[in-house]
Amino acid sequence: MVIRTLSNLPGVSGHEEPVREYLWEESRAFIDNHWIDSMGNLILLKKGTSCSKKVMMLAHMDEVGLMVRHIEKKGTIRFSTLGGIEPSVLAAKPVIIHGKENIPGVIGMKPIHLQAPEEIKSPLKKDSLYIDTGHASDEELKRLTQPGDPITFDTPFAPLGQLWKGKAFDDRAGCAILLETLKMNIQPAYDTFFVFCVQEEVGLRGSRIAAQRIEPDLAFVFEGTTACDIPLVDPHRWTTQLGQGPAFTIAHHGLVFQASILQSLSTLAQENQIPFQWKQKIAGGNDSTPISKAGVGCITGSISLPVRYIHSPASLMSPKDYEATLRLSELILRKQSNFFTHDGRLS
Amino acid sequence: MKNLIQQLTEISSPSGREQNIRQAITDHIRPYVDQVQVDALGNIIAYKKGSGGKKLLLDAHMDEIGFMVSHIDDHGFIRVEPVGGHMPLRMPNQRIRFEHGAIGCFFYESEELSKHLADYQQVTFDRLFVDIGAGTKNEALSRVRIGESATFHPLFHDMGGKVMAKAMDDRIGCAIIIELLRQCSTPWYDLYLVFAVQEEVGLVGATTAAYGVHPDLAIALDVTSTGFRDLPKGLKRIPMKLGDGPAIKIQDRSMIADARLNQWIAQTAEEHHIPYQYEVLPFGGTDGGAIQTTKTGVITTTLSIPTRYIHSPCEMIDINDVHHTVQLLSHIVKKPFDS
Repeated sequence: MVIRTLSNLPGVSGHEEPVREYLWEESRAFIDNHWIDSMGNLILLKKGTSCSKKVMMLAHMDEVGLMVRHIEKKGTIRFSTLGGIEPSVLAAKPVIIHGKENIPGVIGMKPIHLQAPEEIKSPLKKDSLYIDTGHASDEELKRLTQPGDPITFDTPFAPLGQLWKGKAFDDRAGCAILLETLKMNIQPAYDTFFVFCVQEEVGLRGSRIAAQRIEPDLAFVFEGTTACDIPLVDPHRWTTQLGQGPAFTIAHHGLVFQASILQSLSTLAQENQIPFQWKQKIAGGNDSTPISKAGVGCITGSISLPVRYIHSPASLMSPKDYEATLRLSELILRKQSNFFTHDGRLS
Repeated sequence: MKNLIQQLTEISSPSGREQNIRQAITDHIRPYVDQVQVDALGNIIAYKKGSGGKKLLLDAHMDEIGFMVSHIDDHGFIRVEPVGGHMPLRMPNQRIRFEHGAIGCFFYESEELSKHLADYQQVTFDRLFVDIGAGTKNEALSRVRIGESATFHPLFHDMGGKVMAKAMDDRIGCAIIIELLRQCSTPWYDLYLVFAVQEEVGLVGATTAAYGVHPDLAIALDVTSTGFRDLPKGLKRIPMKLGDGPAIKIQDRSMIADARLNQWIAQTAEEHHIPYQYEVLPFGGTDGGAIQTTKTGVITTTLSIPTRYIHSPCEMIDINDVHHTVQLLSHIVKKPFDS
């Protein structure tokens, strides 16, 4: 199962090699050309019937995680976060340090009975956390790991009721959808660049240079996005909900999506009985913003898989949403001409 | 001029939904330019040939701040998300107009009388709702759709010397370029007139338009805030004032403007006895910032129209500042700048 493998692979921002290797091995038989650029973006070309337009389908390979900052004498490890992680989701969570070998650890903190009342009341700070590896001193640890080594959450993919649980659905879900779409071996109408990009979580960096290289006419971003459909939150603040299909973004940080692309996407979904939802909140952003602004600009659509507890050690998503998004992705590739008018302009 | 300002500010075209304002501006400029193009993101890029062979880009953004429908509840109340820089505190009791014509007003959640003021002071868009007078979800859905855009309800008012409306930011810049085209015969520069999209959400359109044009020189036109010289106990660090002429941008959060270009503009103003003032804005940014760092860089500044109550339905300008800006630009486009 592609999503299981991809969610389990380690690949925090700047350390996407294992994900890139896997995607490359799986896709190489199905593509016409490929590039790995200076930052590590994997760019795969599937030639179209016509090369008069360029279409880009993008997902980011990196996940949020941690990084070794300092190894203390007593065998504990201090860390930085890579990407937006709220410290309160970290306490007592198992992690894996990817040094010369994989070192299991647990994120430790001062026990509650030793905390002053004001410590208990105030939000947890990153500096009050450390990783306990079970080693009694730094001697052995320093042979195995060094500052800069990436750390991922130790959360193997598993079914959970009607849902899936995993550590990195943001955005291995997008990677899995694009890989499965690519392996259908469909010849699209136009040259199509499948881009698996780096460093989204630390500032939308990889997608910018990929878009500058390709200069697409039309781009689609496949993302894991936040779902807050939980009992504590009023429905108007849910952003997205699980099980209702892929979410189309109308506007988010730094970009309002074109009415035409929203119309084309929703029509395509409706005509093919694929459920979809509109992303309610404009908070947050993704690679669509730098892609739209690259070069002379391009039209972009953002298609998101709803994920509960995103940017935490244990995220949940729905297989129903995954299946619906995969069908939509296939249709986007098969029916690219739907997005252009008969004279070749974007509709 | 006032008629033009009224027409442009009464159009609702928030960021990303500029089709209406794009049509109006295109109709105005077409007789005066050699070419009009619309790029992928929806920017208007118009071209007017000059005699000197160098490219001058003049930019004004045509979007305005607005709203987007995010949710409709069972009783027909609407939730909206802000598009651009809104202050939630200013929303309660404001009128809002939706893309397809529905009109409503903002109010906020407050369950206890004793917390009414506290709830107001802490209001966010999560706690604001819009009432369009619909009794049910279906009735609301017949007038407003999820994802539909909205803006402040237009309330243009001519006060004689001053004019008040929503969306002066930055339809006043658009009006200035249109008026410049009407008045200007053959410029020295090849003029690239950019009416940019999505400035309010992050200088989106200017980024791609400037990339496509790659000008030798660029001037963005936008509004700027006023302070202690202009209002009773106005902001202490802001000297800009209505009626003192166009403000030549020195610095804001998006750019430090080109000092050589600024000096040349100031000299030009003095030669023709046009009043001007300088602008250092400790907050905010304009398209100028995006244009300046395009490709290998562009010599760029911004001319600002002093404006009261920016990002509200009551943005107020002085009509003399507008005339003076048009005059100044008509001299600028006619002579070469030598850095």
